[in-house]
Amino acid sequence: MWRRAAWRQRYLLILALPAVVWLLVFHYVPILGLQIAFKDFRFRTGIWGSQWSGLKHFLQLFRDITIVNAVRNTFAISLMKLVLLFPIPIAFALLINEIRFHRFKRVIQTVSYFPHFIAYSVVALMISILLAKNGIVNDLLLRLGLIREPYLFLGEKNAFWWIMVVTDGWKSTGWNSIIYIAALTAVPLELYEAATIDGANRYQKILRITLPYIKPTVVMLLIINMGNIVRGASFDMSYLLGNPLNMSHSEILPTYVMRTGIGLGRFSYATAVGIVQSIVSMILVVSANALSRYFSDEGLF
Amino acid sequence: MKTRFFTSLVCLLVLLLALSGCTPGVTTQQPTTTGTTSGTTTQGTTAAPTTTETKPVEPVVLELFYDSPELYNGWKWGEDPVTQHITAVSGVSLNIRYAASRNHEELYTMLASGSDFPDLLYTSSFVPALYEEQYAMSLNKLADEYNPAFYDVLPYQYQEIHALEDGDIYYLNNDYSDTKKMADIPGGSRIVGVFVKNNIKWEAMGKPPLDTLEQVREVALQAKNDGAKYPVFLTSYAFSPIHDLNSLQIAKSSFAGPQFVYMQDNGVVTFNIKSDAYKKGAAYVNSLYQDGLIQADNFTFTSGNDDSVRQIAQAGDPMIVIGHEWQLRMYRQGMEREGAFMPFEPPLGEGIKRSDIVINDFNMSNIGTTGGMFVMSSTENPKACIDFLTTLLQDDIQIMKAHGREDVDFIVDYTHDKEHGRRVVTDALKADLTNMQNPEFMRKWGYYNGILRSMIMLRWTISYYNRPYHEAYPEISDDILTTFGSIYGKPFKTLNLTVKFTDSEEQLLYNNVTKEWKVGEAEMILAPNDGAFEDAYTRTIANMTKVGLTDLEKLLTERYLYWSAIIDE
Amino acid sequence: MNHVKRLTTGRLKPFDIISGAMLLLFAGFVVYPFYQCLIISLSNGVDIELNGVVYLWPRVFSLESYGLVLKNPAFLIGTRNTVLRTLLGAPLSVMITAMYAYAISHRELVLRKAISTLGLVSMYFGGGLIPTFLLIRDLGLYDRFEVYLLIYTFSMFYALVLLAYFKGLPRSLEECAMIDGANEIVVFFRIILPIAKPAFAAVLLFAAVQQWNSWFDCMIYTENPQLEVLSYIFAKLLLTQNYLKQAISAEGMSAEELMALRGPITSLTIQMATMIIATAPIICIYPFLQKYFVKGIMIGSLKG
Repeated sequence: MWRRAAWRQRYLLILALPAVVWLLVFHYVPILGLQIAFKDFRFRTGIWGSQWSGLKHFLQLFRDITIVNAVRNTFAISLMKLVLLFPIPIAFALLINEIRFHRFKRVIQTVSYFPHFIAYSVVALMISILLAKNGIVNDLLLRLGLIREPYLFLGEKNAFWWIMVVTDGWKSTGWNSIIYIAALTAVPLELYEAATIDGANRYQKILRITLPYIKPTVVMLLIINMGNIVRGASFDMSYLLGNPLNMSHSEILPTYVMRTGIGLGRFSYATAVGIVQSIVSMILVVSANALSRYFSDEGLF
Repeated sequence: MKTRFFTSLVCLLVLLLALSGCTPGVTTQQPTTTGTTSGTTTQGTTAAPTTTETKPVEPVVLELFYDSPELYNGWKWGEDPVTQHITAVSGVSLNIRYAASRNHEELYTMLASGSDFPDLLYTSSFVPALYEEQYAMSLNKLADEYNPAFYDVLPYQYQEIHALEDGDIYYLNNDYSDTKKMADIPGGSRIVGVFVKNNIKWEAMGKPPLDTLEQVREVALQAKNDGAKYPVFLTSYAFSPIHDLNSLQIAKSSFAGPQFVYMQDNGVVTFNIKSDAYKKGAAYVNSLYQDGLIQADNFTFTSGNDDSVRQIAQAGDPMIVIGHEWQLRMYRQGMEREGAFMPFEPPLGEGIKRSDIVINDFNMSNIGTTGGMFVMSSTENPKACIDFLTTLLQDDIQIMKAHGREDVDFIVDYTHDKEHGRRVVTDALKADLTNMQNPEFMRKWGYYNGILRSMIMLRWTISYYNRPYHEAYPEISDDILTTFGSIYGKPFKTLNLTVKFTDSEEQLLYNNVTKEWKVGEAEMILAPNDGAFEDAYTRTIANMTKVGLTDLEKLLTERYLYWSAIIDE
Repeated sequence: MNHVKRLTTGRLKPFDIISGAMLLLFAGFVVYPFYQCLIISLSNGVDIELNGVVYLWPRVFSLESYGLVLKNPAFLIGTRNTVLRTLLGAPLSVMITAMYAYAISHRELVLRKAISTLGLVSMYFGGGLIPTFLLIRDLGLYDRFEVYLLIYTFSMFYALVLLAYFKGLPRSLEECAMIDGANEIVVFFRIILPIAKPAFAAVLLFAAVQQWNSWFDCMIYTENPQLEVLSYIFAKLLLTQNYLKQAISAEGMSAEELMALRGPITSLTIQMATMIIATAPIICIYPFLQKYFVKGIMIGSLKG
């Protein structure tokens, strides 16, 4: 029965074939490679030939107290981004929506998308120039009299999280607002017209009509973001801007893997950390999905 | 309209492509042989007599992976007289590939890739896989087969100290001290990390005494009154707590602190941060900070901060430097002028006698770590590799790598030291040193080549010819050398004797402990008041203990006992 | 079109002015950092070093840095590789992904559940860096240009965007063609591809940006300098600088290496010029594709 269906749909299956092969080879075969977390991986013997070592690397992972910092920073940076940056694209979208001059609106929107297209390596370079002791930020603060001496932004561990948050705000606000702007255009005009007749002003209209209308989108995205919290901190930024001075606040799990795993040739250990990270991430995604079902009767998958 | 836009875009990109060359290097391309660097140009300028056998005109090009970032944009092997000479002697030219960072990712991924290895590999870190998995070749086997002369130039006891489990050596270390050679340089010494004063200002002040730490403070305060914003300057080793040029390690000496970062009391290794003298020294530096004499980010080296340290050094005109005067030159163009900054006898802490003080120069007593130059077993030119290493170990090449060419870069002056002479930089070089920037300078002189120097540099060469300049440093004449009596008296007692790790977990433990120290050091120096200092000090030790200080000390003790048994003193 | 436009006609109200001003401020915040880099790149390096930052226009205008960058062979190799991997990699991945998305957009497809689950799981769970690296090695792709193309050949995110679009297309189009004797492959290339241009454009842009900006793959999967890409050159610049400036005092660094630091690192203006040249193409192109990627994001997310 299905064999005949398969024959009938052979062309469709052929279309899907390259992607399926790619997925199997580049995505699912490496999953088999995760076994090296339970082995003592050696370069020459490879994945299959290396000796089993049980849970050694996982035990090591739980014994290493330096990972605590990495975990804390990963969550702290992601949470700060979530809490502080989540409302900004919404506000931006609301403002854009209130603009009457079409051209102005277009220009602002276009401009706001631009940081999204800049590579993180370039962003990191830019940050290091702007925040340098003789960079423009310090110069401006000095001129305004807000500081008396140039402030060493990248050397100050307490500043690192904020730098990450501001950078991310810069990079993603416009891009993330796209979806809200789209949701806003879907608000039926009749609602506004009715409100106008009732004598509501624009603030009231935003509060009473617009916001409730886009609430499902907001909740949905909030949940998606919560699910992604393990991946919220940017490896590129932490890796490229991290230095011994801010290390206690800049090291996140992926850079930890880099430093203690690959940088010391401990491939098995690095993989073990990766597995634990994936598991935590999965738990978060699944619970976010459950939340989503609870709030909107619709899962993400 | 739109189609035209895209078409023109594609055209533009294709044009760009055509402009920038053909297809990408899908296969590894062998570098074109650097034929221009045949030995002919160098012979006239090389002073050191070398073996005069005829070498093939076309040198063998070996690939070297250098596990550290590229220091000189655009410099290539064979562009300067020193490397040209080495090529002429060894018949080997190098094609160097650099890593992007010091984090070793690329080294390990390259190893893991299992293909396209270079012929030679230089890494300053510990890489067990290189010999555990036979990526590197035994140098003994190579020497036995191709070049027995290698053993003639191999430093004294190198075989015993750096042999691995199978008894063979696999790498040539950079920091090795050859005790026999050290002994051949009587009186030879560099100036070690110590308190340094701004001699010009000091004379203008009427040469106030600098015998005790309190007098040093007085002078610094006076300099501040005279307009220097931050009169005390910590050189960049300030941020490396385990280095003997570190400011706190220097301050500790003034309190007759333990000579070594790792104290070896009755064969038990402990970190000297726990010593009373270290704490006093740190408290002293902190008190200077509290007096407003040190700028907070003076010793914090981060991207973008280098410039500001340079500014402090240039504009702030430091009165007192705790560190190495030589280091200031990096930041002060024109400070090559000798005598501007001058080391002086360690000022004394309260209740300390001069005879209590010992200062160690770790440069002179070093067995190196487990990194160095490896010959990869995949090389197709094993003979060229071992020939090259043999050449690098030759005395004349060593001296040339360290100090340049005699009569060209330097002359030996016998006025003050009739027996051994002293190296004096030639005027021509000195002129270029102030006016020219690297890598142009390097191309012309071949001197100051950090890459070359970091590859198999034996410690004795650094002090060779490098005796103190008496005119330049009148304060450091014979007096201070007496104080520094231990410099070459006790080799192999410091840092790297104990820190020679044999697996990556040990390395990690060490990294973690020193990282905490590093962080704590900044907090100690920058404590706003004495209470905060006390907290910072206690917290640093607590944090170090938390990440495994006790385990590390136990480990280092074992190492210490092991190595002291091998080394004959 | 817009409710505000229709409902509030007439003169500007304070509300408009405030929101307009806030948006302008935001636009400034977005653009200025980049502008700052631009004017540094157009400045004379010595002037910047001596007299400090410039705010609006270079004090001493100079195109010298650009000349130097364009003469740098490493930069040219990087540009070539980046352009090549973008031109080849982005269309490749969009094509493979679109074919997959088109196939699973058919509800009646046998194994549809399995095929789409295969993709969905890939969004959340994978082998991670090291197993992937070892795979690349075992496939003989290490240090080959092909690795850039094959690493990003398929993306479930793009597939979801395209899937949402395909689902919105009327089935009748396809059915008509099928009656005429065409098979699905022909339909896909002849009919769906032209119709779905907006969705393709959006996904193509995403893929192109990803290809253009990737550097980590270059660092991990290649060692041949001939294969370096532009963004890796930046990362390297930053890492080298970090190394030079912070690690000056690190334990491993000998006095001899320190000596070498007398050499200047790549000057600020040159760094900035490199950066401007490297980001210029994408910045010039994206405004033209704006309506496509906005649509792409919308259709992609509305499903989610």
